[in-house]
Amino acid sequence: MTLWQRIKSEIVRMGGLLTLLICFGFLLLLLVDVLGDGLPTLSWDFLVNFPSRFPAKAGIASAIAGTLWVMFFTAVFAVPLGVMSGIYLEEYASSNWFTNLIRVNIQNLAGIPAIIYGMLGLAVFVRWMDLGRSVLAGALTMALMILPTIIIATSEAIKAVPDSLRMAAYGVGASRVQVVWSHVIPQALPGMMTGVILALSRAIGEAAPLILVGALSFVAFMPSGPMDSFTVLAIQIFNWAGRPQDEFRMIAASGIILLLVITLGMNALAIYLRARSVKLS
Amino acid sequence: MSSKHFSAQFEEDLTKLKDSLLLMGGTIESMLNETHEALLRNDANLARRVIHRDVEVDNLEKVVDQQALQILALRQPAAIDLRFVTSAFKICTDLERMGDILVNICERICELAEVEQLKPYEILPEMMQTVRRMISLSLDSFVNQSTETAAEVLESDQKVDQMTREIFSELVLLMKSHENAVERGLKLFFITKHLERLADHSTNIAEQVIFTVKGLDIRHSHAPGPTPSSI
Amino acid sequence: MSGLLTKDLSIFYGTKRAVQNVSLAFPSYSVTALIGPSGCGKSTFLRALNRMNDFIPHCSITGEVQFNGQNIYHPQVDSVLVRRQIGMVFQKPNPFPKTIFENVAWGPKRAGISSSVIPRLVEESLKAAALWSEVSDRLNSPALGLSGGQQQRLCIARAIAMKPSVLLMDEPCSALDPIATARIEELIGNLKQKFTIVIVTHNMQQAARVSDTTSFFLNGGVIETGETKSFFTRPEKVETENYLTGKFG
Repeated sequence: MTLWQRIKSEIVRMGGLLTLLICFGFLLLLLVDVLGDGLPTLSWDFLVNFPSRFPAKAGIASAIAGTLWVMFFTAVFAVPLGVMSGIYLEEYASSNWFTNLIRVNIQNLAGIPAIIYGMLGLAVFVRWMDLGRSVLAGALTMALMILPTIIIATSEAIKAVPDSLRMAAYGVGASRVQVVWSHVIPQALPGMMTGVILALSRAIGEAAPLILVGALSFVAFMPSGPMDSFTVLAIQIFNWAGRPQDEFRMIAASGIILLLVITLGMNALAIYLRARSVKLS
Repeated sequence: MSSKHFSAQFEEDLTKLKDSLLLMGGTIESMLNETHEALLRNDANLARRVIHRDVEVDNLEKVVDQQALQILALRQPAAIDLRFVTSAFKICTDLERMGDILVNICERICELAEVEQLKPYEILPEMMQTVRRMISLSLDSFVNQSTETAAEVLESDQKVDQMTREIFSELVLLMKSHENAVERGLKLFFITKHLERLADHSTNIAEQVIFTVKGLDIRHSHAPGPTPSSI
Repeated sequence: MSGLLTKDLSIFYGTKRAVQNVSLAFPSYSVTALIGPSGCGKSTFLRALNRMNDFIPHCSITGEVQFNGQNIYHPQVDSVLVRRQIGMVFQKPNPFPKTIFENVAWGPKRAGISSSVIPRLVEESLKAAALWSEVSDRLNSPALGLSGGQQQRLCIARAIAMKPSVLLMDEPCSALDPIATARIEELIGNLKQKFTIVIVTHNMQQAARVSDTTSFFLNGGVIETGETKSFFTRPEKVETENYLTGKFG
């Protein structure tokens, strides 16, 4: 290698390192800021109290409950539907212009801004289906939003299963159903689970579509059923962050920490499950 | 060949080849015994039976060649196996020639039966015995893949050459002294020459055995035969 | 004759003809080897024998493949049942990512064999594949932990556990080292007592060692078929001799 080539390669290496450091730098900055603001006010009381006009007494309990309700129903709708669609597209659907059109459009749908889903949810679930500003409406909207992501993740996971495995199963006289359910899906499961968990962890952090669908920003009760009104963590944080008082901003930071913990926890779970499945096979 | 080949089929093919060669060798030995007897007893009928047996040897030559060819084509033998198979081609040729030579000897015996014998054989029976032993040893060396036994065969060849020379001198003397001994003398001359050729063929077999076992090609290179310890 | 033969079989990828008008009969309880240079159509032909080509898009056939007198490409024939009778071993060993036991047991279980019979069936199949002595103490360990040669023997055990009549082998040794290859060749010699075997190999010496009948494929057609003994000592066609002596491809 000539000197000039060596210099060039060093520049590229240093440049890459610098970019990485800058990104992490900003992330670190955010973390430090949030932890600084939010840790002091993060307490057990904070977790179990309802929101109030008084920041000292405000808590995030209803938002936690609302998030749990919404995520539960979102998962119930999105996961089976998304996984089944992915399986159908990859293993059963023939390859013609129509199915290819659908495949391309699913990619598009995954990229549509969340607020559009919010408007869709408002029009279809809240008004037309007359579900009102309920947990159900919110869950259905979120389900629609993460559906494309789950379908794509499932498809990719199934595509990653080597054909030799299918051929081996067909070779011993298995039917398509047996091949798909006894071999392809178990093999694709780690990828599918990771995709599902990542999709759900995105949904947890969304505020805009739920605001449109009618999540309230001041909820001082626990939802007791799918038709109840609700709020979620993201919205509550948004609400507090917008108040003028410094104390509210601090508990907003506390909420952010909670949200970060949950999201990181879900990602960690995804990684752990994936690693364990890979080890087992 | 101590340990067995992984492929049972290959092992079987090699065994069949060896067995065919042994069958050929056994037939030659048996024909030689009968020839010896026919000569001593002046028995033309026995000689004629030997002549008819040569067809067995010829058929076996074809069998051995076919078997060896197939092993080469189908089994891709290497090293000692390859040397064994190529030796098989050569050994069966030697054995077939030996059959033809025995036929020639027996034809002369038939002719001799018509002519009156002048004096009893002196050296010829001993030469017959030596040649019989050489052939037997050469076949043994093949069966046992033994270079020691093969070396013994090579050593004996000297004695055969010696006896040939002695018989020739005796015959020349006889033919010079008795006019009507010439016809008989010439035929005995031929028989002696044939026996010498038989001995040469058995040394060929011994050389092939040494080639198979040691990979050494000692043909045409030894004047007085090598001692067992030099192999 | 085994029940397996082809009649004027041609195989197309789209409009391109890969195999043309091949009529071959496969003798029972013997090994038939299909040899020929790369791209001559022998693997395509082999896959047609148990309808594995069904999984290749745009692949179609004309002509017939008959098994026990019935054309396996008849619309009313269930290809799944065909593959239970005509099993396949592939070029690269592809055991299921399950335990050794599960690999052999899966097919029979799904085919409805009762679970009381399965353990003995697994043992028989592993013994017939010359693998039992090496794995009998670890049947529940992952199959992927075995060596390449062992994995291929496991795939053979898996195939014969279905008790097919015919075993198709697509270059089964090409991914293996010489010793593993020798073991599988020896195994094939034993298996032919119970199965009809058709093996595709690009190694003609292997065909010479292993088969009873050999067919030479070239450019999608069969040039010559014959008893292996005379095929390799005295082939009839010039193209065959050129291939065997390495005069081309």
